[in-house]
Amino acid sequence: MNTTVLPHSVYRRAREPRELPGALRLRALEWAFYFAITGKQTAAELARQMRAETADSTEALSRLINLGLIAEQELDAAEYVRALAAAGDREEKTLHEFLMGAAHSAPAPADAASVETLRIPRPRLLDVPDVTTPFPRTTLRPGKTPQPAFGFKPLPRPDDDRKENQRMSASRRLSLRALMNVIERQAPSTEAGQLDVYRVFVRVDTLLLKRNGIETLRFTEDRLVSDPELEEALVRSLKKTLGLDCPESVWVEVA
Amino acid sequence: MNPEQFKLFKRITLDYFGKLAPSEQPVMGEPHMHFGDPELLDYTSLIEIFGQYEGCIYLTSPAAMLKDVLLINGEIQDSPAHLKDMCQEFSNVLSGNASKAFGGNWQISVPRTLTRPEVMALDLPESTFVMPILWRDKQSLLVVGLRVAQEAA
Repeated sequence: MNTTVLPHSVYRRAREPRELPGALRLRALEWAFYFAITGKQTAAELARQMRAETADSTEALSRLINLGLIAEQELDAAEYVRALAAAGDREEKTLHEFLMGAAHSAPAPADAASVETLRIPRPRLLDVPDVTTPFPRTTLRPGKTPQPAFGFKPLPRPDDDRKENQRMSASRRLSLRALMNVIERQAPSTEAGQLDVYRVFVRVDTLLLKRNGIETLRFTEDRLVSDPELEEALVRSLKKTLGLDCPESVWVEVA
Repeated sequence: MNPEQFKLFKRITLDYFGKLAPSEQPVMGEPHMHFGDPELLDYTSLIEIFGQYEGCIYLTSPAAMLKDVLLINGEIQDSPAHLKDMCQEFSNVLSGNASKAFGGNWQISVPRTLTRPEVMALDLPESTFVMPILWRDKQSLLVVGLRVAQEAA
């Protein structure tokens, strides 16, 4: 049975290695997922690490769920938005589109059983009276404002959707994990991606990083940056080092 | 430093530990970046590198790990001088590995063997890529520290 696996779902182990039955047999990709799962990374991030196709990773995660070896981690709204950013989307979007995408990609609660299995922030889902028609992602027209779902309030549509890297409200943060994902996605291998991330950080003044409490940073770890100077330094270095523009998806709105 | 060179360098450095005690294979821990004062253990084997970037590569190890390696080599004395000698062996391995991996594109300095105070006196790059090597319940750190050459002081 294939369980729905969303790219931004986060899983934790339901059974630790010592609790596994001795006779348990899994495919290599399934074992790889099982051991890689920490309760912090999204399904999409794990799949990228494994260099696995979406269908393969969905199948592997579904099997692990069905065997009761892993379970979906429940997230609060801020964690969910962060997971959404970390899951990554190859298509660059404005924050508005990104948040609309969040509403679009969440499943409609048509089937109570599947909602229970997925455990996507349930309180938010239950708040939604009846969402059966997903919002179109890219067909927004002026004057037509879709209703926000799941408690998300997309920011007002900016005048120019293509403006990148604008700082917005004070509650907007740059997610370092989302930034690292952007860098790693354009690299041909994990090693290359990590090296590229490092090369971007090499150009950033360590005093700025330390001022923001960043002395050590794992490649799987997230920190939300609110210091405009550090944000600018990272954006500038990304451009100078790798020639990449920082996509809107690396910024998250924090409640 | 391209990813393939980097991967090769990591692998052959790990292989060195693997060959010391074939029944106790080393494991590469989760890498991370470190900013500010370098992460240093008791003894450090260091080479400087020059190319598109400039900086250094070092392997910093606890005395306990060097003592283990001394024992494997049949040396039961573990005075600071002996430990530094063992660290020099690491330095030579590191230098050889770096030459093998980064050969064409990089100039590599003579390897140096340093105690913690000696390393702290150096002006090392403040942004480092740190790869823990776990072996026999001890941890060494294989570190790459770079500065952008044209921006270096």
